[in-house]
Amino acid sequence: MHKYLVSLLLLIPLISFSQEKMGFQQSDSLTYQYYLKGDWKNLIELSKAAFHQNIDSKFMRQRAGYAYLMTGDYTAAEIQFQKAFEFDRADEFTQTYLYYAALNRGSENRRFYAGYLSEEVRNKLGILPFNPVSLIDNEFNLKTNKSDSRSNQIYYRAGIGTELGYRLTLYQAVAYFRQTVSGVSTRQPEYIAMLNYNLSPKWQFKGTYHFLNTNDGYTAYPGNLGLLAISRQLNRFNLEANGSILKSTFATTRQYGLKAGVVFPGRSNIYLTSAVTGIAEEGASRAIFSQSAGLKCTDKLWAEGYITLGNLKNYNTFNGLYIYNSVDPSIFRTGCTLSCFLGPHLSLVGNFTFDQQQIESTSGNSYYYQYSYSAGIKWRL
Amino acid sequence: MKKFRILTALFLLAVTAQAQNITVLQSAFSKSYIAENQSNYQLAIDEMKPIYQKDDYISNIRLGWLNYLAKQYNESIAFYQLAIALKPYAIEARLGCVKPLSAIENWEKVKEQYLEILKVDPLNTTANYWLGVIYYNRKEYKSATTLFEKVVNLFPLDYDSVIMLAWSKLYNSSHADARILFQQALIIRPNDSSALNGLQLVSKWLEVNLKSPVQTKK
Repeated sequence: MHKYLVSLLLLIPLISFSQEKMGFQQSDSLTYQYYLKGDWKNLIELSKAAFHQNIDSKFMRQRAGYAYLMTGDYTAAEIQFQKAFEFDRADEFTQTYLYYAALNRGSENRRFYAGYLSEEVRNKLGILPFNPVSLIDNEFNLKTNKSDSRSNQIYYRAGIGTELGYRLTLYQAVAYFRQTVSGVSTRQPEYIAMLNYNLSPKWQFKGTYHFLNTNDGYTAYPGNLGLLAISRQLNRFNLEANGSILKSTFATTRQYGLKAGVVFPGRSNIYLTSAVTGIAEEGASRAIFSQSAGLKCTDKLWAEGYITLGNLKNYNTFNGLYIYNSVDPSIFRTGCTLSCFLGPHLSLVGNFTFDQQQIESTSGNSYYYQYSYSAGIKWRL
Repeated sequence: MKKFRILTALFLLAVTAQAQNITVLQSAFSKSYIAENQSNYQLAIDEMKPIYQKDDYISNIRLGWLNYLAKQYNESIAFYQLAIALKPYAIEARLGCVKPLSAIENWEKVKEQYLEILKVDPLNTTANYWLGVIYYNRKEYKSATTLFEKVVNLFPLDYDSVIMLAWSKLYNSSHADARILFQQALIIRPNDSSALNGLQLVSKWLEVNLKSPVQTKK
């Protein structure tokens, strides 16, 4: 008993030391020593304690950011370098590592930060102020089912990205969809234009135009979709509000959505995204709920799983990139995506999705299952 | 008459209380100065605590300064900001605030403070000079030149401003002006290495450009 008491008494000074108020000089010099030694764990712990005690400086933020970058927590690294940037926008170390943090994180701010790099660094990294072809991507999708009256669905898309400046990017794609329903072959060529404007690293505006030329070989039923979205980044959280209108020959669909995402600390970069969407169509309204979760499995492999509940008739997702306007709406969807980054330029994407489709009928609805397989390739230039 | 006596007594009481308050204030400041002179900054801060009032400009300035000396920079900034809020036109509070802000390398906020000072006092030498240094370090030579010029116009014999203006002019491609300024710097401070280096660069530039075929044709 005495042994434990003595141990406890010996531990008290240690506990009180860790809770002791640190000074600026102590925090500054210790973080610098940890930085020089490459002791990222202690550097992160000490920085956290110092910032909590309102001890802060540009160098301490830079060291903490670098430590997070080295340990693979790119979101935390970006947050720390953003703070350092608030201290001094002209610091080249901050500018460069802010860009690297965003690049590794796959953040849409990557391009915005590139605008702050010095010309010398930009030239070294091959970053152009205007890049007519910044990426090329292709996607092929096959949807199979066991319904007698519905054929398999085929979809493919080819896209090109253009960097119009450091804040403005444009993505354009052409897509093609085909399915035979009860002997009638439906084809749907599509054109998509998506604009993304970074007002600041925290505020983003998005606009999409999506044209659908649905036809059965004899008659065309064109549709036009316009979407506007605004998103706000709050450290590890991301909030988005969006609204869109789809005018087709058959109906006018209004869609309003709210999305919230969070990235958890740690090198796995685990994230969760929830979205609630309201759809108003032909005087009726309905709600859709979507949840996704993902993580970085290895340095080159990311995985994401998702589930969507609700009637997805004329529902659009990924800011209007996909419009689900096939004849039978999905009422339940779940799936997973694997993204593999093979190098600085090439990435491959594989996806499997399971859908429960609904055949609407006046005599009562019936259901069938659909299995979707996608493969995509993206080349960044 | 009775009423008058009561009023007089109350007045005297108030005056005495105020005088006592001032004495307490002066005593606290005095003790704080002594502690500061002995480099005991924490004691100097502690001496101020009993008399500190959030809406008192001078106490906030004093605590801003002492916290800066004690290397408690964020506390120092907070006190200076309170002082600035109390007297927005007081330049000394902003100049004080610049010190802890510089210590933590918050150059964006330092720049903000200098710009605010220049709104009140456009010819303030300290603000013009140091804001010029910030622009110079950011390679914004045109902005730096404008600010250093103001200081040199006011103090033509101030070496620091003359040499900074000379370098800003050089990097801003005003080689002829830069040469005159480097020479002026050498008058103020003979054999100054920075001015000699600058003159060497100007001479090299002139040599290369005067020898170029385009220049010869002209």
